Amino acid sequence: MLTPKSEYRRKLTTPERAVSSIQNGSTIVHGLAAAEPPALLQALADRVRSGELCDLKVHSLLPTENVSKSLLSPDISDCVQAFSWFVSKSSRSAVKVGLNYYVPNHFHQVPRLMRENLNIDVVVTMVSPMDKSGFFSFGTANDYTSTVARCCRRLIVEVNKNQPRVFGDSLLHISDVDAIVEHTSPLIEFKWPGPRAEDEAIGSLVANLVPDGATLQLGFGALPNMIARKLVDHKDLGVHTEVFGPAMVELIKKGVITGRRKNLHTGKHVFTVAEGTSRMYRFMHDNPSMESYPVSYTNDPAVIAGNDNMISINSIIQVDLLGQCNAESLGGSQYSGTGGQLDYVRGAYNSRGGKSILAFYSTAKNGQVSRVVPRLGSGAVITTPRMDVHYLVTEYGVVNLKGRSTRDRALDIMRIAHPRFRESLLREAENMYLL
Amino acid sequence: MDLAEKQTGDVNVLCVGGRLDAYSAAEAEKKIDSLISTGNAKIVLNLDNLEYISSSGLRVFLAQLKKARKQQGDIKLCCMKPNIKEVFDIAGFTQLFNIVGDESEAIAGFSA
Repeated sequence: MLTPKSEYRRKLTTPERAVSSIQNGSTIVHGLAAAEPPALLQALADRVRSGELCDLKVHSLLPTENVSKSLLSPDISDCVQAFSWFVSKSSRSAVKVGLNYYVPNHFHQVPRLMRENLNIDVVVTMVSPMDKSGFFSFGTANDYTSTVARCCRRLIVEVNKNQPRVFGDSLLHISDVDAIVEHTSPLIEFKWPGPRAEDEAIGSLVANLVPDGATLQLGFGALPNMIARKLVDHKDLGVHTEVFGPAMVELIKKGVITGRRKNLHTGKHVFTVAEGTSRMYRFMHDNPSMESYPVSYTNDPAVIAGNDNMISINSIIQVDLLGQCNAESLGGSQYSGTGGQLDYVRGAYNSRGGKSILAFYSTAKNGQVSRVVPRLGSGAVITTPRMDVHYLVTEYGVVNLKGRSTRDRALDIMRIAHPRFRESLLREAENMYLL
Repeated sequence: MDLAEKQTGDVNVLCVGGRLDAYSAAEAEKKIDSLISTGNAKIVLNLDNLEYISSSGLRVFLAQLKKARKQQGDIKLCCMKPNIKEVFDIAGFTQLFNIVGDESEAIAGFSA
């Protein structure tokens, strides 16, 4: 029987050799965000560019620059059919002109959707170095990657010394791997725009909704990270989240997040994907308090509801006077994705003492456009239906829509709109016979 | 979609008009491919009357550009309307093609 070390040596190869057996027409899934494997993606793109490989189907979720500069580069878009399960800055333009297709989904269902519907030939992803027992770690990307890695025909991993070794259900044994390449480079870092004037008010209003001992889910983006900074005076918060981000690290280091009062995974910070800075990735490495699980677990509304006082905090693009929230489309085009928003909206509301909070700035485009609109525009997507919306927060206040009539919710929503737009919204509400 | 062909020296000019979409892309592909296959790889696509282009049209142009360049030819684009140019910009295709203002400039580009 081979020892892990000898099996490692046997499977170790170059990126070029690792991808050389991939056939025309293959379906490929790659690791998410900071786990995009740059050397393997480049080797694949080189084969396509040379004319050796064509008709690939490539599946991404939140593609970043490693894949957008290689396999999703415009110059090979005639040979690569691209699919985005969440649209990012890197794929937004291609999605807009039909060179990349968005796949609608709830994030917690993605492992099942991919396993049952894609017939995956190849998975390429980045992992942390192997331990003495023969285990790699999926590191920053457990999500759907851990599931598809085990059901594809060929699994190729790129070992990167900067990929943190993470606990939980995040380990991958060498016997499950078909080929290994080594390539150490800095992980992709995620940074958000600087604070806005409204953040102070929104952060304070949201912080007031969070009791001591609550378990938090913070969405992806600038606003949720700013909100975290207003929680520094809270006690014994916990983390059960989709995306682990830098703001949470600060709260853990300050002793605000302890996880002591969680019902599930007490004392552990649970996540499915990590997107942050190199400092954050170092904090995660070999840290027994950090546990990652597949997104089918972390985002399962029933699991989310298992922690008392579960507070989910996400952002939206706009809301209409019926209470329908759009968090993913802009000007009729797919801007981002549903992600795990509705997973957490439903899970948090079903938690004992739980709250789902959707926070947003009242205006866009330097105050010229109201994010509270009478009706969502043509082509707008409803991410959170009105029946699910719990708390809405802007810099002008907090409203709770649960159990409210169409009349009351229209009046409530107008109350948190920017004052400059309230009169016109009131007129429209009358025209819609809401009042 | 309308296709009209003319020749200036060893350069083939193809005027593409109307909508280049999933329904018409195969016809455009067949036409350009037939030119390249018969050794006429210096091609100008005059897009003056092109009203709309979809991802299918973009993919055809890109695939044929590669074929033309393999034969030491090229596909140059001219007379693009602003809405078509916008699609090329968004798709990241502007950098892939030689795009000029008018037909004579595109033809002259082959002798430069």
